[in-house]
Amino acid sequence: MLELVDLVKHYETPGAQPVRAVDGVSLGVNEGEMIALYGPSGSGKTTLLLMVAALLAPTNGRVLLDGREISSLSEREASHFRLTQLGFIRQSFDLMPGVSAIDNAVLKLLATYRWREAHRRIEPLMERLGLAGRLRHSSETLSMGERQRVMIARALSTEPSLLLADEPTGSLDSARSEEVLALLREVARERAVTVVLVSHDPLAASYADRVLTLRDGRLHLQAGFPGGVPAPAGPSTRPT
Amino acid sequence: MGPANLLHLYIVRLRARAPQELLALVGIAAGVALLFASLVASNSLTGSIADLNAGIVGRATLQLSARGPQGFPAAVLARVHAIPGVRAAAPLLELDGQLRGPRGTAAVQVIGADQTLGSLDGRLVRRVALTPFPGLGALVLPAPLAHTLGASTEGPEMTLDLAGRRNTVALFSTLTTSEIGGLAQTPLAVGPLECVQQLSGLAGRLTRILVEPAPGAQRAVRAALQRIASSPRPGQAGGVLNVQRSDWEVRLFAKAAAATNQSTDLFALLSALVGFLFAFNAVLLTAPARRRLIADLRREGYGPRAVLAVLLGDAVGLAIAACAVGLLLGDQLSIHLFSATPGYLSSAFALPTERVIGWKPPVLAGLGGLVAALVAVLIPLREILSRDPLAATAPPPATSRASTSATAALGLAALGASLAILLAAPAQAVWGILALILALVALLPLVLAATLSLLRAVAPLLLAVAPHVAIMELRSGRARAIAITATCGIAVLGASSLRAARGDLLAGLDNAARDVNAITQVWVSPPGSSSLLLTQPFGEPAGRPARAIASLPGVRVTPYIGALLDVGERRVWVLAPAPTERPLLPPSQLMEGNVTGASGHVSEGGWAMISLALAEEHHLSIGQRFTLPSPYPIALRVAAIGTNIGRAPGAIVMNANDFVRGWGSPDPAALAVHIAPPAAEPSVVSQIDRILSATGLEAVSARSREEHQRTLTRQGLSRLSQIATLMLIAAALAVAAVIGAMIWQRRPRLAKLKLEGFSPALLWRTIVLESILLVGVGSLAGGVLALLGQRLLDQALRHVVNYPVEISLGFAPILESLALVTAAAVAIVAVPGVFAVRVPASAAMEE
Repeated sequence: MLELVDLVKHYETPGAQPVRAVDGVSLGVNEGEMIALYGPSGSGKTTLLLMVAALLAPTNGRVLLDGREISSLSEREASHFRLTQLGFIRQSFDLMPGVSAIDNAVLKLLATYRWREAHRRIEPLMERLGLAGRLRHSSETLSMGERQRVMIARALSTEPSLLLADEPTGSLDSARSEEVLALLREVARERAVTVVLVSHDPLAASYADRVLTLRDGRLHLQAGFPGGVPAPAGPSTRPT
Repeated sequence: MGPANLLHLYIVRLRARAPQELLALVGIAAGVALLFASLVASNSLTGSIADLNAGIVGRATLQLSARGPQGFPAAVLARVHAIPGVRAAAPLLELDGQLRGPRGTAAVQVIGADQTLGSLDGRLVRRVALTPFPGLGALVLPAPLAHTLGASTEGPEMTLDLAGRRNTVALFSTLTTSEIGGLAQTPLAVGPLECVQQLSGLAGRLTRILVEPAPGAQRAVRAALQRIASSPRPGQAGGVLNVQRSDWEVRLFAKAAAATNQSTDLFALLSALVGFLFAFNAVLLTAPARRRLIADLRREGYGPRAVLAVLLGDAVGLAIAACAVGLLLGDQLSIHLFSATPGYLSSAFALPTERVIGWKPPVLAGLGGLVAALVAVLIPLREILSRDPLAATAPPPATSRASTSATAALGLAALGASLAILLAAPAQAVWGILALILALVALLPLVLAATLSLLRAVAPLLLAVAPHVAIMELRSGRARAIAITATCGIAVLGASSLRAARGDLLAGLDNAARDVNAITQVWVSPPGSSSLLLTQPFGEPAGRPARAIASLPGVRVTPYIGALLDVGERRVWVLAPAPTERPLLPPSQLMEGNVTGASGHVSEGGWAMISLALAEEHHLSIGQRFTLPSPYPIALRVAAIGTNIGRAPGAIVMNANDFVRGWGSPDPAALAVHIAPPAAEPSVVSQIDRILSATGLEAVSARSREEHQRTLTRQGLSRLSQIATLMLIAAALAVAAVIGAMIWQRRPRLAKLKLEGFSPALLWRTIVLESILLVGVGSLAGGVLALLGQRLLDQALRHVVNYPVEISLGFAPILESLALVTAAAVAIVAVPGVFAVRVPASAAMEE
């Protein structure tokens, strides 16, 4: 289970008031639960994700995963956490240019397995993601949807317990967006993975168990969306 | 991540960056090739001499050698044999000669030896039968030399000119490469001792005795040899002898070749630097992609060590490929371009043309390539090692005023250091040049910024849009712009300094050749390599033609004496014109002292002009007395201090009478033929040719000899000019390739400009203007600093190697280099520019 406890991130700006990117967010997300986080540009969504991914140290507060504090991990422990427990789906531009779909997807597995074994392990997942015929294709020759699925394959390759997705449907048409969102929900349920999804896409709300909004660094419960209810256990959202 | 995965990752990523990787590979390969070729050239010179010496001396560890070319009596051999502890002693007679066969002529070193030389087990003579041949006058030659001469054991006889005598000799046998390895490339002829003594007219004389002491007897034998050497028996012609280690020739050669090797190494180092900058620039183009990769890996959970391993894999992959190509290229360069042997060395040593590679050249060149690849690939080291995993995605920090000031201060300090080296320590010229390069690189950002500011101030006055766009583009890609200007600057600085200094050296050497030949119109001397310096004496019966020449109407003949003499570890050139000759001292070669006064002193006897390096080594100044280590040591005073007259180890000029006292022989090395009107030079030369037709002498006009010396000088320095030219070409190609690649990468931005309504023609003009600005600023800055670089190299050549350097301001070579680099780079860039601006505007929407 993922828990955010009074999480704060301020950025110092010379000669001005600090920017309060995330301002006291508390949230609990259960295993197998998928939440969608909405918010306008500059609301602090990505900052929040980076703190959860141990890529950014919070100014205050804590991030816990299954009771283990992520926010105070050493650099080495944080790297290990990202490599083994976290899947991070970002914009598809992060694929290595000129490199095949399967080689892009196995990047994390190469830390553990020799590349042949890594290929063998990722192939079923990529087939399931509809990439069976595109394994050897260079990333540039893939469609936007295919690129995004390669990123999903990479994120899921190490069977993480937490999946973060930053605008996973940002560059997809609605049909592809639905495909990706359905897949994420399926993975969350099937593998008991906690999914935190940050999006502008209204469609994402229909696939999420809960929908929250972030405005000026503060978290709000989004009314009117299906599943827009607090988590069944742990620190609940704190509407402000 | 294991090595197999690192390799896999390297290979799969290679496709996307193949063009940049190829450019980097070419740059590093060029640097490696130049380093390797110059190291092989240096190594081959000293290595092949060491091989040759070992091939002759075998197990001998000591030698007794003559101080003069006439050698010493063979009776000394019996005294050496009588020393307790001498296991073997082999007599040698070595002279320079010229062999003429049906197909060609070659200057050779003739070695006379007996069968005891074979017992020393030297590789060269192990298979040579040195018992007197059935008929006198038969020689053993290396097979390639015999082939060049067209000589064969069954074929026609050859002509051997030796010590002024013409002899007919036969080829007894040949030594093949399979028998003696690389030594087969040496221009030498081996014959039985008695045979060579007879052919040279030096019956009963030796020039060297090789000595193999019994184990443990080295010191005692040396002491006994020393006693023999320093106490010639009454009436023993040859005077005092030298006792040396048997590898003495190798040490002397190393000293003599140091000038060539140092200058070649310096040139090659600068060229390699340009090649590596080329690589640096090329890899710089992939820096954004590499930063993305770093960020990607860090976000996915790889730690700094794993990221570093991935990038090290990139560097090692690049280095391996580049070094392989560079070494292959360097191998060809060393065979086809760098194989020329400096003429001044071949006049004093039998130089094999064998290529000796050894382990050093490939290892050092390979290490250079690896370091270049590491430096280039690990540019984003700060981001790799940062604790912040997102450091690689952060925009580069803006240049602060403090860091700009610090860089400028560093540049000025480096400039000051190179000036200080020029004024106070010219021997440290290499450091001076490196300080100059540092100054250039540190000051270039300021120069570029000032140029852009100037252009921005001027741009509003222009109606054209291109300058505005060019300024914007250059300001946005500052790091790349500085890298390109630095490449141009270093290339022009290096190439111009080298070319200008080479020009100054050639001018100085030409002056030396002119002065040395100014005393007469025609020279008569034995042919062969010694004719360059006139150091091979000849006596009767070769003296008879002298009288015949002197009897020609309008002709006056004076003997001219010269020799090579070992002074410390220097084999110096001794010139001894008759006291009546004018100019007695080469006027342009004096560095300290007055020509008239010094000539007067030398003419009256007991005085000499010595070269600066000798004076400094023996702490001598004008007026001071020194003892010359000639066969009969004589005391002389320093009349003047001069250059080395073109011979790196040094030179001494004295009058012929002093020489006769010191060497105990009046035998001339040449005849100076003075022609007075109405006698005309061409008719006199043809009459002399007729007189000399049956002798081992040849007549050469002073102009021809001077020309020959100029040719040899240029040939000896050809490696330097080749490197300077290669450097220029490499620089032009480097800059063009990098700007071309940069333009190609910029197509999406060009598409955006098209979207804004800019025409392809305008974009092309912008690109060309950018190139002119970058290349021009860099080249100009490099050109200005090249004036200092030239002076640094001039001073080093003058004060360290003591070469006669004619110091000048090398505007011409600088302008040439500047124009060539700029024109070539811009001309080449114009082509990819045409294709790049054809990018459709819609490409801007796809990004």
